Amino acid sequence: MVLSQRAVGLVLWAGSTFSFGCGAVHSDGPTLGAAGARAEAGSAGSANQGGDGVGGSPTAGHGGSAPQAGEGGAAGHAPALGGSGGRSATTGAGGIDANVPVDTRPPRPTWEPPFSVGAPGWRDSSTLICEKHVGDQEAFDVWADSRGVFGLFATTCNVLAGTSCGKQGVSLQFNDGKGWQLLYALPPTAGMGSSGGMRLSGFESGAVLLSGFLPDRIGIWSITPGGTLGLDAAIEVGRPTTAGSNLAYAFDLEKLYRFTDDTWSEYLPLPAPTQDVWADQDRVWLVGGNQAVFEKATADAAFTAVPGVPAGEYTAVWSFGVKDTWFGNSAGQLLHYDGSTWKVFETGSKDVSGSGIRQLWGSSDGQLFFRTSIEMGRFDGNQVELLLALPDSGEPSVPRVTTGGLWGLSSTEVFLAVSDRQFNKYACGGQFMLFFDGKTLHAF
Amino acid sequence: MLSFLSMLAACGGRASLNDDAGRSTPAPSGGTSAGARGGSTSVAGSSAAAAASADVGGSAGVADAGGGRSADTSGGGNSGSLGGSSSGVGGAAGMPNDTPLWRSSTEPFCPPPGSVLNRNPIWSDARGVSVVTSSSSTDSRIDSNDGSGWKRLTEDSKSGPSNPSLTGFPYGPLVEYGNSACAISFVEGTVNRCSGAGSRATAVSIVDAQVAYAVYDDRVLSFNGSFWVQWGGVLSGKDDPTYTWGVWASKDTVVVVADAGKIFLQQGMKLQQQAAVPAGDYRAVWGFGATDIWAGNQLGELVHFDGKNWSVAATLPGECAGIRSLWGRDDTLFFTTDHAFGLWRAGVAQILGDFSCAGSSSVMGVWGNSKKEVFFATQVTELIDDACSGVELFWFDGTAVKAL
Repeated sequence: MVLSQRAVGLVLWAGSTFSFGCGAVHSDGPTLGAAGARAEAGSAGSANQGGDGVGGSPTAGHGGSAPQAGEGGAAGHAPALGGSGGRSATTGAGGIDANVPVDTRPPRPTWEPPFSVGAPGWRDSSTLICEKHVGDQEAFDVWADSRGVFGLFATTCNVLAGTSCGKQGVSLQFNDGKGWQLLYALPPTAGMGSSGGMRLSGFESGAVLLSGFLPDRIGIWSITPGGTLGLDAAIEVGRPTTAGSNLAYAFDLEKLYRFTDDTWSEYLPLPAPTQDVWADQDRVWLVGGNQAVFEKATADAAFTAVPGVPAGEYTAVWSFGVKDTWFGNSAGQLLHYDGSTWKVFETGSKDVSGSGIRQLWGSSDGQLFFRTSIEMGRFDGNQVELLLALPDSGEPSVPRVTTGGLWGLSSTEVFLAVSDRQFNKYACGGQFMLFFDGKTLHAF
Repeated sequence: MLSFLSMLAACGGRASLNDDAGRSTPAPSGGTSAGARGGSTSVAGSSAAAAASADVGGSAGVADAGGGRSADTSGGGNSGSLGGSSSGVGGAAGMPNDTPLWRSSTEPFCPPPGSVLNRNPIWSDARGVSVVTSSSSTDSRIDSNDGSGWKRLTEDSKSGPSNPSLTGFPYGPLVEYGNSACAISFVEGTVNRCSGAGSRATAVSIVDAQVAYAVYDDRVLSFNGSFWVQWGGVLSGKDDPTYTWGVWASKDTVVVVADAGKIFLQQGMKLQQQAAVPAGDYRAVWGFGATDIWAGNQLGELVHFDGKNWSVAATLPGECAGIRSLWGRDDTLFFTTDHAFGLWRAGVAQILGDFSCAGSSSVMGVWGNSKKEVFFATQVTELIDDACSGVELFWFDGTAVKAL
């Protein structure tokens, strides 16, 4: 069943259709190759030639070559995004800034988190991320590719619970190493209610994907840098898992969906209730509760239950190779499967939320990074260590700091979205993006 | 109003778990022994009435713990009831008492206010006896007594089960299990290590250091010496859910009991649902061997399997006679119901102590080292915020019940 098909008008880059609001935000001339998701090779050359001006993105939109990008325009540092096609919704001609509330909170003091951090900064970006929407946080997620780092925020309001309405909303920010800029913002009036637990992912040098409630329905959305939003599939799923530049998977309670040929469609029924999916071009792993670990070893193979799975509620999966797959469970353990043998690793997590390992990300050199709701750690090939851990004592039952997302570019460029609720009352809020350089965490 | 369990005193009589009595004051009830007359569902209320009230003609009887007349078989039938023959009431919780309660231990167990006993909270081996309590959805603690007194074994476990139960490997780690992100933890010394990362464990049966089984919902887990894996498929059928409550295992036998009259027995490498099982929601199981397995259900029935058939061996009387836990050794099966504890031997069930059904007192579990060293855990839930949380432990020395 085909759920929707993304428009394939790949030469929309230069069209003004996708330039709404760009100028207001990207004063240094962002040009984001807008629509046209995942340009095929043939259109590579034009991948970055869109919007108002020509993008100076260091990387081409998918398929584009860097040397061809950035010609003729002011140097910009916005990403070249493949986006959704002509079905996009726009944020209006008022520009993205119009969707961001005025932040009247008092200035934010120097952030001193209850864990060790180094000097602020990532690459040439030293100013901390600033989120102006105010409300109950529903999401703070991070995703990155060679273009830079993306941060997704979602807040909602609940008057009955004491959170006033009017400044809540959704926004997507981007940092290419030179500073944060706003790519998209959903105004408060449209952001009422739950965002459905928004999640962020994307295709390398291609479209950025958001799953959740935007503006009026739940689905998988792709977003262009100019503030243009397109609904790719009206399905309620978690974070889509992308594999390369043209393949992605997502799941709901019953079905696994696949994105291929610019189209999301129902792919297979889930063999068991699922918590996470990992995939590459050939293989798919699914994990869930009740020892549910399933592998689809080839494109033509069916899902098979992996034998001898240690009991547990499996929450996360990441595979480095056929005989090198890692799992996280709700007890905060990491587990490794080499194709025949299981090994359990204690992480030392003190997270009592019951959610355990929330996310895994692996670097190309084989280091595995993980996060719980309050911690971040890694397996460096020899041992598991916590890189961010809250103090044992003095922490209230509701942790001061929680994590929201984890992604990376390499083992020395790993990003973690954290929220410090003690800073919600200050301007720019309590969301902080952290960068791990292989040794130390830094805010930026 | 304090809770108090009166013990079998010198004059005998069953332990009367009297909600209205004071904790520190022995209030022995005497002279309530009855010999079984072979009725399958009777409990004699007193020695005088025993013979008259006991059913006749059945295969087994149920008897109260006898008073001073131990091994009273006057009622006929095929066995006699145990009589309490010794005094054994310990001192009040928290009060110095030079008289040993158990081995050299003089102080009764007294957890802090707010402590909760959950199902099957007590376990023992030759090293001593241990109890797990919880004080919140994630805080649990284990106290142990090696015969010299109660000592707190573990700090509050912030990630412990919300409804912790306890068992253990003889001479090995304790096993704490319940509802948690880590359903089964091994406790060695003061270190609590996650062993089984499922979210729930309803019951655990330890065979040896390398073999154990656990159940939750409609699944069975086996321990292979390193970690727990699912053993067999789900026990539910289509539109026929199964909720397991108990497991007992030996090297060659695994038995799982569940709601709705379901009992599963290992046949080969699989569990097979047993046919012709007496109806009832089963909560506990214990085996002396493959042809001598006992299951207890909410109807108060002790159901026996002789290797071929399952049949009701006895029915405990009363509205709150649902059987909660079983433990056995040699020729004696000990049981707890919601409000009483007792034993079954040679065809006779014998109540060693009971609370009023109408009260908030509960008997939570039983374990032992021998049939002369059996431990019971009780709690008066309305006293949970008082000193000792209304928790009282007892032990049975083969003749009398005493404070622990």
